[in-house]
Amino acid sequence: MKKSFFKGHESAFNINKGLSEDKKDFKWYEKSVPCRTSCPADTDIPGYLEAIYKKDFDKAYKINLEDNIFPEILGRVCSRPCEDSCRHNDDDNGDSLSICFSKRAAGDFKSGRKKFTVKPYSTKTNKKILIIGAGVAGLAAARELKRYGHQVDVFEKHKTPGGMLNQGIPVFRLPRDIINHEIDQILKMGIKIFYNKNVNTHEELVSLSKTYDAVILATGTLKTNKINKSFTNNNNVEDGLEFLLRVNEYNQKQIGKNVIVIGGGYTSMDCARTALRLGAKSVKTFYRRKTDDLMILPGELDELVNEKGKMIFNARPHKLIMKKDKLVALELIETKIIKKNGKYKLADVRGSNFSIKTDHIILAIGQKQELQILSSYKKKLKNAKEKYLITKNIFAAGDYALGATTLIDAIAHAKNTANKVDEFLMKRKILKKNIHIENATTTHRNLELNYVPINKIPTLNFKLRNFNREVELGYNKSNSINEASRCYLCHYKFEINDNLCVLCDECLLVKPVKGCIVETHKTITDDLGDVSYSKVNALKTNGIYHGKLYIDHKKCIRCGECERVCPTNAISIQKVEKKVNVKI
Amino acid sequence: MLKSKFKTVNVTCPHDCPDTCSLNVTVDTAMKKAVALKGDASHPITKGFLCNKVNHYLDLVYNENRVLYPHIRIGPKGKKGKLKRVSWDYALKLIAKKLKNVEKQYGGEAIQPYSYSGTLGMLGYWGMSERFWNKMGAARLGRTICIAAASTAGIYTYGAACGPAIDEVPNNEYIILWGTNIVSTHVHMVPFVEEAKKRGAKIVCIDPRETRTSALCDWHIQPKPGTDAALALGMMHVIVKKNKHDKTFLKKYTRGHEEFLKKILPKYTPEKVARITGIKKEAIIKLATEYSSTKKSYIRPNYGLNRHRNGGMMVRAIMLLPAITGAWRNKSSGVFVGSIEEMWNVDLNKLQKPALLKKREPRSINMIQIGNALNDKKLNPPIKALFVWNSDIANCAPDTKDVRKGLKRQDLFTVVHETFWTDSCDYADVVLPADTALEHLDLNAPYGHYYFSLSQPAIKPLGESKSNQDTFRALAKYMGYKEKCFTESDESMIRNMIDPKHNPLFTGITYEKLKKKGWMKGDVNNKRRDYLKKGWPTKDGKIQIYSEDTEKIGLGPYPEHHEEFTDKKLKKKYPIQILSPATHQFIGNSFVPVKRLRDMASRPTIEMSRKDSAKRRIKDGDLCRIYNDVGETYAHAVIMDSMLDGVASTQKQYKGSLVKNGVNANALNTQDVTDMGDGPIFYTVLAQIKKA
Repeated sequence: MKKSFFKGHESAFNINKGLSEDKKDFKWYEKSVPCRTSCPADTDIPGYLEAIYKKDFDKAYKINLEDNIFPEILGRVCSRPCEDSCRHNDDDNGDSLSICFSKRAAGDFKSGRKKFTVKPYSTKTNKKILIIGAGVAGLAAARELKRYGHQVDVFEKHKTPGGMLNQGIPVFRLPRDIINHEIDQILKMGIKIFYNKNVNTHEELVSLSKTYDAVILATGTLKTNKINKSFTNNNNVEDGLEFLLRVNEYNQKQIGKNVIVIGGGYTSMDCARTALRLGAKSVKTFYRRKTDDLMILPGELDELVNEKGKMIFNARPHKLIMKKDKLVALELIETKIIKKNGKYKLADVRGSNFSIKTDHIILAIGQKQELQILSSYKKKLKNAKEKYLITKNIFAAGDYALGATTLIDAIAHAKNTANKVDEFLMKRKILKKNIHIENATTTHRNLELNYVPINKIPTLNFKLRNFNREVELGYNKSNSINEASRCYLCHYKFEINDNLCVLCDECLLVKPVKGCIVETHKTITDDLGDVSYSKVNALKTNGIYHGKLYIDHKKCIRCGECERVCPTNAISIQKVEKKVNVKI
Repeated sequence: MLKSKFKTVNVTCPHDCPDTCSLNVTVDTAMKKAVALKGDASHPITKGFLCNKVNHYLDLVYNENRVLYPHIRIGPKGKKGKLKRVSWDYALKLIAKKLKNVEKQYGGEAIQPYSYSGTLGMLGYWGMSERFWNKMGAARLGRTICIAAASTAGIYTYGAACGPAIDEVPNNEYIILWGTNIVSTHVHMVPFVEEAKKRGAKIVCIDPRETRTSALCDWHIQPKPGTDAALALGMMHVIVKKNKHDKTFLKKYTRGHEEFLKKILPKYTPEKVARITGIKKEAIIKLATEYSSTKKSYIRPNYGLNRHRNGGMMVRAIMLLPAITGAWRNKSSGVFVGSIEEMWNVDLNKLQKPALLKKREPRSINMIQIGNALNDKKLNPPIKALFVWNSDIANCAPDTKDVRKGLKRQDLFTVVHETFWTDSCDYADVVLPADTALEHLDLNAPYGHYYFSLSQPAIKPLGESKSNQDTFRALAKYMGYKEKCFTESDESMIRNMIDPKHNPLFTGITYEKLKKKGWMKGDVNNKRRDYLKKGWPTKDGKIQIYSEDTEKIGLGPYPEHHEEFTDKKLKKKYPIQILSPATHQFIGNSFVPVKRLRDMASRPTIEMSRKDSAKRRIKDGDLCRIYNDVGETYAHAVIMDSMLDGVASTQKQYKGSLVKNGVNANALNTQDVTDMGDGPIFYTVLAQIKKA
């Protein structure tokens, strides 16, 4: 057979319609839909943004409920890795979409009377599972295991569930009725929870693992990092987590006059802003690195500064300055980045010591798991590949497995742990991911939507802020729809059929961004569906007649203009979704 | 600050293409500049889109390479010469003086006009210029370079009748694109073909080359170049043998069918045709069977075919297929070579005023033999002055070496009226600036469909450029021609052309209506065009299967296959047949000034088979020298599995100065002519290819 020169069109997919399990198609999705790819919980972000754009808030909420379990909570406090990867963020494309606030809008505007439930994956089994810790990881694992049909018991050492949600994050960022509502949804599924109940010893753990078919440790990271004994033993120096716990859970609101917070993460921000609300005269936060190294939410630093907090970079605590056994100041040292043996390192600036007046220091310098209870199993957790199974029938979920991470990481991990527990107990794999492809005629987008500016989230007037009132107010309905309209809907695929393309340039004349449609000499698709191309190079390669036009799905912003002007209908649109299917 | 106001002007694409698109040009009236251009969405053929060329038309209008002022030569002719800007007055005085001198010394015949399809507006192509030459009694020009053979074959067979246009394609069930790369040269047919496909039609492409068009067809048949008459006759053989021919149609509407069926067709057995064409016997039978299974069939040949030595006969044979099956009974079916014979049928007595010749009968020079004519020492009188417009003679005429040798003659006075600094300007004594379609009024009559359009000026001529009409008006004044016809306005000339009495297609069309809408469909349903009732415009009203005309010129009365190469020695020395079809980026040599199109065309290529390239150790992308006894050119190899052995394909009329040795494929072409109509034989060319 002679090989045809022009009849060489190769679709990005092996099939035109239906379900695919092809690696290549998964790869396409992974590369093309960066927001979902970067979400640890694999939330169908374009799916729910499209639903909001079509004013279907219920559907948007349901998608989130299914994928990340705590939509309304995450809609306020998620660390939003998705927004960093949003293609709106690319060169000249403007600001990332406000995915997190859109999720909140889905919760805010879902129909009030409707009950939202998730479907069970399986009928009831006779397996009994204990989860230790009712934080997000414990609760996420509990919900999922319930869906697999198991009986689930949860031990919680505090008087309320929620873990960091209740005991860490302040009310002004996360109202308590939101937490209660979403936890209730889970507990109502028939999960037994025992409050003020803790497992303290290794023996106790071993004995419980014999009573239950499986035990999951989801106790988070409560062991805080220390500086040295002089700090640890000082009554005016406090750990951030302890500070937040006593304020939030036990209503003990004592605060110093001149407060210093140490650290550059989520906890330090919460401590500083809480301290301001409790009436501290001044709150200064010191961080040893630079702005770029902060691990905080977008906008959080601005709010701290708005609330008259101070943030100082490149300084670390050195020693406490005491007067008559009373803390009067903290001595700090400036830091800088130096290059040593080819590596960048943080170092002190010699002689840069300075002291700041203080009577209350809060340390928010990180935390780790309390591993004592594991005893001889410690090593096993360390060596476990994906940190799901520790040993025999003892599993770990969330921060307890991973070390301090974010809510969304912990939820994602717990979902997977639940899946592993089911696999372990039932010897089955009932969840299967597929790529679902269907032909579409339009995305309902147009060129103008590419220029819609970001909708800023309205915030509470500074004068009205207090310990309880939520600072971020959320979108109104029309703002949220407008914001969702900005989504490129990267899960739509535009492709030029080479056999129909007449190279008329109509699409090139309307293309909105550089490189979304390229003139290539040829495209090369590797085994995993990754496409690379070489451009037509005047005088050096053959011309476009022997090449082709190619839509680069990593640059295409799905405006649909090319499809509208194509005279030969050579440009096809397909909707591509990643779906979880239940198979028994 | 100037406040911008925008208006939309209807312009027609004037380029040499069957589609003749209506354009909506947006003009910023404050800046007096055209700022946007798109295809007219209301036009049933244009359908709101343009080809890759005309999509960049504004880049052409506002191109840095435009000739904006008259220039005269200082120094020698050729690449190294220099030109100097002069005023129109100076240039026209000089031209008038020179032409008068030649006229006086050698007679009008020593002055040779040379033009072709730089613009296809009726005025720009053959309006005021022809009045001028008629008055002068200058030599005639045989404008044969494109369609002479096909046009003549059509007239011999059907009179001046044309078939159903491309908008009828979707009403057919079997469509054959015969020797046409519609994606590159007739792109507005593609949506109609796609529509037919959607309705279930089968699309067949017959082309020796694999093209982007063959890629969108259901079936690609690759005959050896120049054997299409055999294929058509073979199809007829099968159709008649299977008793699928329309006997009553043949009897009622054709002349000579009995003898043709009895004596000619039996010779073209599938076995014999397979040997001639290189197509498998089974494929020939299948094609004939499928084609004759419906009367809703449509054949679209284009002009590539007619550029073989036997081109006229090939077109004639193909054109007879619907007469055999009776497809003509269906209004939307038949064969469509083009609509030029009917659409261009304007009253030339009014337009060109041949009465000005006053019974003189000047000699005619065939434009494809201009090389010979310029160098012919025996020609009496010799050509002493050459006036070139609408053509890049240095690249477009065959046998480049000969042509350029003639152009270099020191005793030849050459005027080139051009929009761009083409290679021909290197040989001009005077270069005059020409305008673009945006800058003048004209009437356009397409050759690929039946929609007339009025191209209206959107902007003033750039620089000191002048339309063809205005240039000849001005020149007439300097020549002292006093006749009123030399001051007639463009509008008046167009109004006189719109004459339903002369051409029934103009029925219902007025200048005012055209001006308002931009375009109007010719009256294709006019009773005078009902050939089934009224008969065809031939001598006896019948389709001429038997033709006295072809018999008279020695081709025999019936269509037959003739070998295009008879010289076996030459075939051995130069074993590769070179085809040079149109490129995707340019129309002839037009659009070369647009950088984007040059970049996308990138470089001249030569498509070759794997066997031919392997034999010559040529790898994909290698620069190759292509040569024969006439001349040589260079191109980069594209190795294609689908290419027939012994055939290679390069681009026609690539701008010579973009090729390594300054000349394009025309360097290989002879000045020989086709079997009918004295057209060029651009595809009947043998050459050798070597790695450069």
